[in-house]
Amino acid sequence: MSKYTKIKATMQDIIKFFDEFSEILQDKIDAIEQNNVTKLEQIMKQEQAFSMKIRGLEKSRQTALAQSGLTQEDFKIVMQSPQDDEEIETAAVYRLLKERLAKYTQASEVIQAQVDIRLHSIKLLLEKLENNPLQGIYDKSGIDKTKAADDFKSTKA
Amino acid sequence: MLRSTFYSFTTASRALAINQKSLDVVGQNISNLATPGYTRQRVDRYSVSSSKNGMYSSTTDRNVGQGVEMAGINQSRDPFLDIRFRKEAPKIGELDARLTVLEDIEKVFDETTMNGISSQMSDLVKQLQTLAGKTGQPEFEGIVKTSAELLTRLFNQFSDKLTGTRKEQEYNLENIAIPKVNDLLKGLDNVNKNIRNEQLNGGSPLELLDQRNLILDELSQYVKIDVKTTNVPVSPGVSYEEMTVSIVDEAGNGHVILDPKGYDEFSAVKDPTTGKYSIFVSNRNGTPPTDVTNKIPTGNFKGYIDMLNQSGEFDNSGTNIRGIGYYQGMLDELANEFATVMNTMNESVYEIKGDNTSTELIKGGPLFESKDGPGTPITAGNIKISKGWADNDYGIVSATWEQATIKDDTVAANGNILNMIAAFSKKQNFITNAGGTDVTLFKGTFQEMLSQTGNVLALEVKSSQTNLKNYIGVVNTISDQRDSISAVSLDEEGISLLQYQKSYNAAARLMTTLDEAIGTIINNMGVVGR
Repeated sequence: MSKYTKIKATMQDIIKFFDEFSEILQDKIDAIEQNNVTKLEQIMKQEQAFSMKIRGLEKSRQTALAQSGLTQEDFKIVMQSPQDDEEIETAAVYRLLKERLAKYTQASEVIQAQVDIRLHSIKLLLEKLENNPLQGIYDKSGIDKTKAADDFKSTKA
Repeated sequence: MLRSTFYSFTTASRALAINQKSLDVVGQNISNLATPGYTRQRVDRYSVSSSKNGMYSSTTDRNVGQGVEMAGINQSRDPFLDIRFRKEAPKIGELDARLTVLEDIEKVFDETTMNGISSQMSDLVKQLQTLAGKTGQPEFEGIVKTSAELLTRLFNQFSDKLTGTRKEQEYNLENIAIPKVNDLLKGLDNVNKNIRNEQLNGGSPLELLDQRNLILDELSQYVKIDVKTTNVPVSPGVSYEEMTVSIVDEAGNGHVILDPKGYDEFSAVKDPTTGKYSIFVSNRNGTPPTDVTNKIPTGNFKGYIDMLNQSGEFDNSGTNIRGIGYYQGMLDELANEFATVMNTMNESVYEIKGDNTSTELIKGGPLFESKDGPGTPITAGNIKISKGWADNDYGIVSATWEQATIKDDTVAANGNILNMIAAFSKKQNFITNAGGTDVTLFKGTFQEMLSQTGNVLALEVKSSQTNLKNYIGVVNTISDQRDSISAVSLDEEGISLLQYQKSYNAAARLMTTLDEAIGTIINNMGVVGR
């Protein structure tokens, strides 16, 4: 068993994890687009369970790296120019891992964008309900007198 | 204090005027229901309070307001959604350009609907197997040669198609995308000038603003832009807007491409040595054009540049983006490795004698060579059957060294052919040198190498399709929200129409009533008992 065997196995576990997680995120994107709140709630529960799992995988990765006697930086350097067959195979897995991570990041960005836009529309709606502009009182130059009243500050101590 | 006699006439008159204007705006909205980019307009109105600070006013006065006044005609638009749209749109442009190229490459590597390199390799193996049982019979070697030649032609054909794809994308970048962006910038500059003139004349150029927003939305698909507007006051109540458009890099640093003085023009420049493209912008002040390739983090330009310039594992920096160069590189690597292995196996067989002299037992030679002449590396684009083999100067070396030196006629001397056949099942190391470092691309058989390239391509296509779909979803969400704010709703306009019509009629009725009241004062007051 080479020093890369365990690292490779851990990375493969993480790849599998990201494959499954990305599928869940894709379902989440679809649910958001369809405004399917029920499905979204189910997915979010799954997502929470996955978030717990990643901590365990990250710990395994760190342990495997420590057992191999390599630091994170050393490992990256080796992966950039692998020499023997074992390193070549590990580098291929490492590349796959980076690709999966990029895919996951992109899906997360899309979700974040969808959430931001929806939050904005909720905020607009709430503002509309709270500050109905039709209730404002204006003087003949168009200055909102209700706002002017808000700006008033008492000079009393 | 008594109010002025015609106080309410002003109120009624203002109400008539503003409701008439409101009906005009409703008409404008309804007529532009299907106009692309049109933003719903509305009359901003405010109620006018009574003036209490006059010379004759007192604290006991209980004056009523002075009716309604128009603040202006405005558009229902949400800047947040405009900014967000322009942030997400370049990703669609980038993915769309990338997907177009990948789908073109996919057609080249399509081994499912047509016989490609892989099936031709299988045919070559089959012909070698036949030859192994018929060694020394030239007609069977001729069949092998034909099969090998077909294989080289397929390599050439695949390579030509990839070159064709590259040329097509170069054309698209240079002659479609770049001129389109330059046209958009020119249009934007013109619209900005018209807006400024309109504003300086005290007008409200709402339709021009719509036109400008449409141009900015389209421009944002090509490059990531940052739009800034500044209000420049000219005199009390009169001001105009100045716009600056910049392209922004990953770090948020901008490069101005349009401002009130004019606009820059984009150009795509191909490096004659490396063949890589750069995007330049001309400078209005006459200084040399600036290279802004690294200032374009996303957008349609980025999609083209990545596909034309990046080669994944073949790049010195080992980028993650596998452009046309990657697929070309993989094909070249396969052709080169295949030719190298086969050529090595077909070298002449010599017998070394005791006095260190050698006798050529079987004449051999390279089976494949480069069309570009000796010494040039064999690639998919230049691989061909070697002249020596084609001219029958030598043939396929059928026997191994051991078989050749045994000189036993009872042994079927086909060991080398069998080794050649076995080479098709042997795992090869496909290695490239990127920036002085050997990078292993793949370890497997020739056919596995080809299917690996196809698999990578299929995954890239799938991933790009999913990403494109997702970002289209985001942009559609933004567009829907923009429409809910800015688009014309016939229901709402219908309600407004009724509302303003009633309001107008009521104001007219008020005017009539006031007229009657004045008539009472003038004609009937003080005549009691007359």
